[in-house]
Amino acid sequence: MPEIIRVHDLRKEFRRTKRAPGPLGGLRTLFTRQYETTRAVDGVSFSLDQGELVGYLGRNGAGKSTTIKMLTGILTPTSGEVTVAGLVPWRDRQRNALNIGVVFGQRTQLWWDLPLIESLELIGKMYRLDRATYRRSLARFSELLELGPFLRTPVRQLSLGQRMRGDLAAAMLYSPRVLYLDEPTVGLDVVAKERIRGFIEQTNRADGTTIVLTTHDLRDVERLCRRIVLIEQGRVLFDGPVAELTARYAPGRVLVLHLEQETAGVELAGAELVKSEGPRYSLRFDPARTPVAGLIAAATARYSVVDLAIEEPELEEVVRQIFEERLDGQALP
Amino acid sequence: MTQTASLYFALVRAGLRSQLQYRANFVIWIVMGVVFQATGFVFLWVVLSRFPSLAGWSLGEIAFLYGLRMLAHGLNILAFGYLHRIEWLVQRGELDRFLVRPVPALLHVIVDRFPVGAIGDFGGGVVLFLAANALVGVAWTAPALLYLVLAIVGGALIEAAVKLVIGTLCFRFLSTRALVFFADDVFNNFGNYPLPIFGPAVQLLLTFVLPVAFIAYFPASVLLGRTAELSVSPVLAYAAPLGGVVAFGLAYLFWRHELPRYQSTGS
Amino acid sequence: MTEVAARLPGLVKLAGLSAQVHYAYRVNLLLQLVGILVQIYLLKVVWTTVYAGRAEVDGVALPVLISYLTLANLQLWLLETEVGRVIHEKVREGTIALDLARPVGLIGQLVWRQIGLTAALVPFLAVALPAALVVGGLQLPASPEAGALYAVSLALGYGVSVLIAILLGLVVFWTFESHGVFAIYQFVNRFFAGALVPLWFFPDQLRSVAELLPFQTQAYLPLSIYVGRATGTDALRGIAVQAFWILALYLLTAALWRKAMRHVVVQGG
Repeated sequence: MPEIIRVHDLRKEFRRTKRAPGPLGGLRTLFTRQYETTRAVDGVSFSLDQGELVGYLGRNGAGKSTTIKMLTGILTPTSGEVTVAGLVPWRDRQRNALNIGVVFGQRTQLWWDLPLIESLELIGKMYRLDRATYRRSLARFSELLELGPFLRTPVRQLSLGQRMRGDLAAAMLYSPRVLYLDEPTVGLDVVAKERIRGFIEQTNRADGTTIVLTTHDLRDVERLCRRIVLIEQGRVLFDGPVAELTARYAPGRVLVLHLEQETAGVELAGAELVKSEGPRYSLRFDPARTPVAGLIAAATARYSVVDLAIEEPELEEVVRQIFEERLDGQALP
Repeated sequence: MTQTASLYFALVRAGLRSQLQYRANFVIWIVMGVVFQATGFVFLWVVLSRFPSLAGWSLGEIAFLYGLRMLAHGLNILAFGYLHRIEWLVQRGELDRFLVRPVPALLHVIVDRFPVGAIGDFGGGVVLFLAANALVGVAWTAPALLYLVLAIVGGALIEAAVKLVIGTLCFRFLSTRALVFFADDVFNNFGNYPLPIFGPAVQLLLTFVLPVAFIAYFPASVLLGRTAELSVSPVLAYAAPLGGVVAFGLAYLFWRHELPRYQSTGS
Repeated sequence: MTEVAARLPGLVKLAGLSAQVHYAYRVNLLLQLVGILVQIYLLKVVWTTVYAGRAEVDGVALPVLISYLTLANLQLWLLETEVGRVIHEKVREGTIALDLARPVGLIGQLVWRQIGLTAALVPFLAVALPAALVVGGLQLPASPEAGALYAVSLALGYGVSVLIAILLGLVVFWTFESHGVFAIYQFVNRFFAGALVPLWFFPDQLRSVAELLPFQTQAYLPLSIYVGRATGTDALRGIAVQAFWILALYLLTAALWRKAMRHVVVQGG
């Protein structure tokens, strides 16, 4: 499949004025400006082929949103190159906009005070859809996302899940070539999350839409993506198949022990202590090698356990792991 | 072209319908606008009931000037809406939503909300201007009428240009709210008066620094045949509407130039 | 009364807090001050122009008039109230029912918050007065007695403004809309208080109307004493008018608050 997105050595620096402290701070800042420069994106390169569904992962503050904003034309980079379907996003902003759909998890693109259907109509006009195409598209996404019951409801009265579905419909209505989804499942309950994931997967399969999914929920990734680009401190830390990421850096599960009191030197055979918070201890283990039942038995035998839980490893964990690997000098893909 | 026009009107209608949801405020905002402008005029009315003229301008002529300014101001707000909202949008990163659309960003921002209150400003201006015309003798030939329309549009463009420049500054300076209020204050207060009542320094400021004089005073002087008392060349006065177009064009270029500085929020 | 006395420490603290909060809105206050100074400047220019070099008009010299106008506008700025906003907040947050159940509590709170606001503005006078002197003009009172009576009259005017604000707060309570109502009030008040045109310049009919309204208490009455236009019995009559308004507004306010309370109880808050 041909390449559709190409990012090369992308960099973005933010210059923010440092607010002078003290009661007259605001006034002082007007006269003596001190700037602090943050490198939000520090040399990111990757390329996507048409039809790929890529997970763009990273912790908060890692630089994922900033990268996406440059890809969508919201921000202008400090240096570097980007082409999306042959266009440079920040230079051909409006033409690029015709090719892309964007969904921001935290903010809606819809008209807040108007019924959902009116937002969709406006978008149809904006993206120059003829009536027939618009009606067909509306019907299709209305059914896929089950918008029927609340098409006439003002967006401000919709629940988060409904609003998210509305935003997805709005983004897909004009069949964009690339879809950017920025944390689309954040804040939703399990059922809603699954529904959204199902829709994303189907869109990618049926329409061949290239999808860039930014998230810090590993479950989104496991369900949907075949490839992952992991970013940390503005740089690509990992770019490869999901299977490899999970196999190498996030194997297994985490056993969280809630002990009666803080204990020094908590350890169990076959498990590694990764986090301790007061009397709570998180130990990572590989269920393939260390059977769960045995581990729990050992834990309850050795310590006075008030409560316990088995969890999936967090992205934090994965990133930390990769960092350590880098420090060890091992080569990264 | 017609598709763009159709889109523009659809967006404006959407902005208006959004505001209509808040019906109670609707009426209050209009009344407030009218009362605000009315107070300014009633003040002059009372003064001129006691004194014969203000720097040689009779009540009718003052009303003419005042009405003309209100028309320009009302048109500015109606057409360019909440340009002062730019700062709010930039600070909260709300500009993202507009930048992702295949529509010029500034246009999208302007039509996003319909400034309902301005209906009062513009309507009040119409009333006052018509009343003034009953008192002064202006020969409304075709050229004069054309000039009037151009003057109103030009005046609106000047105000919009100033607001746009101040709004664009917030890409660099983050908070320009104070400046907007100040400019608004100056336009709303000083714009209604014949320039000669001010000292020469202030007149210069109001002509070339904050171009208040171009909005209504110069065009009114032309229409009322008072160009002799101008301290600047009458050519400048006649060309006032053109000044509006130029000013707005420059302001727009400034906006386009600064837009890449937008930083959004979050990371 | 004893209840208020008992709660005095708490209320004073509330006033203090209110003053602190307003220090946080420094920029806003400065902006308002700049707006007032612009107004004063404009008034000076317009009046100087119409006087056209005459020494006196209707017995008032230009510098005296300008002093009057400068002080009038400064007063209106100083007397600005936030009562409406407080009530609006409480209505929005739904705590108004609780406060209404103890009317002394609410009104006490409002009064002390108002005092806090004014107290916060007083330090700004250090900036405002010199600026007003430059932009407008200031003169000393016509006589020491005039100055003393002015102080009394000003205090009464302050009382009226607080009562009107509470009354307007009731409008907020019934209509849920505050900003527009208060803005309209400010414009009307500024005009009829004689802060743009002193009442002695009003055309007769308009003057009769103005004299029937309470707004004159906030600028015209105290300042005509200050500039020596109202002396002796005239001055005392002005003060009596202010006292009358305080009483009338107090009774009206109390009656309407009782009605509001009943409304709240009936509706279940």
